[in-house]
Amino acid sequence: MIFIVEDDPDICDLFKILLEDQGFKTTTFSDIKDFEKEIKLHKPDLMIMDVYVHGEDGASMTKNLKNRKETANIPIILVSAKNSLEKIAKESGADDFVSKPFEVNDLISIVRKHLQLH
Amino acid sequence: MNTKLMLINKNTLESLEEKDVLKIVEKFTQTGIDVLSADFGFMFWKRENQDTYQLVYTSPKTPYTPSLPRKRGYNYKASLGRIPYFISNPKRDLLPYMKSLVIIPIFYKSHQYGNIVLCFNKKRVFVSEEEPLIMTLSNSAAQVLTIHKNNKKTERDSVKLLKQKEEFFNIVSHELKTPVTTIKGFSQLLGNKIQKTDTQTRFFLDKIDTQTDKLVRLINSLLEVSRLENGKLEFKKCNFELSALVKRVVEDLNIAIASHTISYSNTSKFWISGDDDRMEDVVTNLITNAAKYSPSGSKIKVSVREKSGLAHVEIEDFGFGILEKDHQKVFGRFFRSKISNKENLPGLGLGLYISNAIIKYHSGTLDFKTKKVGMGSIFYFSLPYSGHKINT
Repeated sequence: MIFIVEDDPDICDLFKILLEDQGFKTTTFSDIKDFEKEIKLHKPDLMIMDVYVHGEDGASMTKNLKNRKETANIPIILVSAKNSLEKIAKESGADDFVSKPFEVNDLISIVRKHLQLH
Repeated sequence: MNTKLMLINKNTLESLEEKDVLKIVEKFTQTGIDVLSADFGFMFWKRENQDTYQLVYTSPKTPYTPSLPRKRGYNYKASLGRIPYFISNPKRDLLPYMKSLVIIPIFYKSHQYGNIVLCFNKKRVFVSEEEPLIMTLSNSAAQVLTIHKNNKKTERDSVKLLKQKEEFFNIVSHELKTPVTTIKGFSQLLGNKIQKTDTQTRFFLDKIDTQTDKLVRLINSLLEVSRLENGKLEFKKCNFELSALVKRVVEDLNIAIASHTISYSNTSKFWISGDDDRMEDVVTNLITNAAKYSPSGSKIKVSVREKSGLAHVEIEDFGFGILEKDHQKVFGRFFRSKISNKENLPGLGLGLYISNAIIKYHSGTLDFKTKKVGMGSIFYFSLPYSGHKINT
């Protein structure tokens, strides 16, 4: 299961279709609060997190998740159109990052890499 | 008297160069001391929109810490009068070491900066010629302080403006990249779904992909310029070998630019300390420009060699050249050359502007020579290197 936290509905659809086409199951969140509720109940195999979700800070959320024992080992891929994404990803402890716009095949291979599916 | 006036003028001009307001205050207080041969002096600065003062400067020989002006005291009287107040014989003894004094209010229009106070250990009789001299000192100080204040304001405003511009570019670029992500993503997704034999649809999708990439490059260039102007362009630090970098770019561009043949030669290897990604951007920009401004089918010659103790990279084209009237503008922002006064070629005209900044960051120079118009140009840059090896 892959959790997608992204506030732009079209990009959210893009992630969903792209990953489902590859045989992954996905759950999407356009609101970081809904995501917070869900992550307490279910743990995904991987998370794709936008840096800004309706004004909320996905990078801080990533840091937070990486500091919690029960979520620390779940790979998080940060996505954003910000040029400083690499730095943000490093600081937040994200496992990887994908700059928008991206090549769909690059995203798939990054997801596969972190799920150790080659 | 003339030499004293000249001293005021000289010190006024010098204080115009000062960035620190306290230095200006010091300079004018000292000038006053010199002009009237006072024993010591200090300045009270008037707090903005308040009727209170603070002591901001005391000259080296001041024998005590001056107490702040008292209401109805000499300082308040001088401030009300707005003109220098000469007190040769105070009504009551002020302090043992202050037998006479001059209080010089510094006013610009109705705004008071403060008062310069000049003090004498012995009783001093002031002569009438000294009054216009001190008036000149007071007016000069007021003018310099006003210029300084206005400059500071302009500086603050322009920093604010640059910051707002950067924020604007950041928001715009983010907002533009979001729809581009969707367009690019879905067209690639569509590309994955169509039949391999459907070459026409694939061709269309490739066009969408190429153009969205171009759009992203344009957005990034605008962002880079706004960062450059704010001094926030980031550079990484590494060591790289220049000739290998140039060769790699030539090889890549020989595939990407089918319209031209790009040759490459080098005589030496050069190790450079700096940002290899940005250097790659410079070489790519210079070669793509050469292709853009020269006819299809023509050659582009790229070489790397040693020249005058520097690593020297040249990109020579056989195109339209640069009109003489444009020579001064080539490295300017948003400059785009017109070919033989015809229409502009696509692009924002930021490539050379950014490239020039990158080369400067690496302590190098970027320049060009134009052969006769219609015969092409040579763009070249020179860089200091940390290591060098002649090819054998």
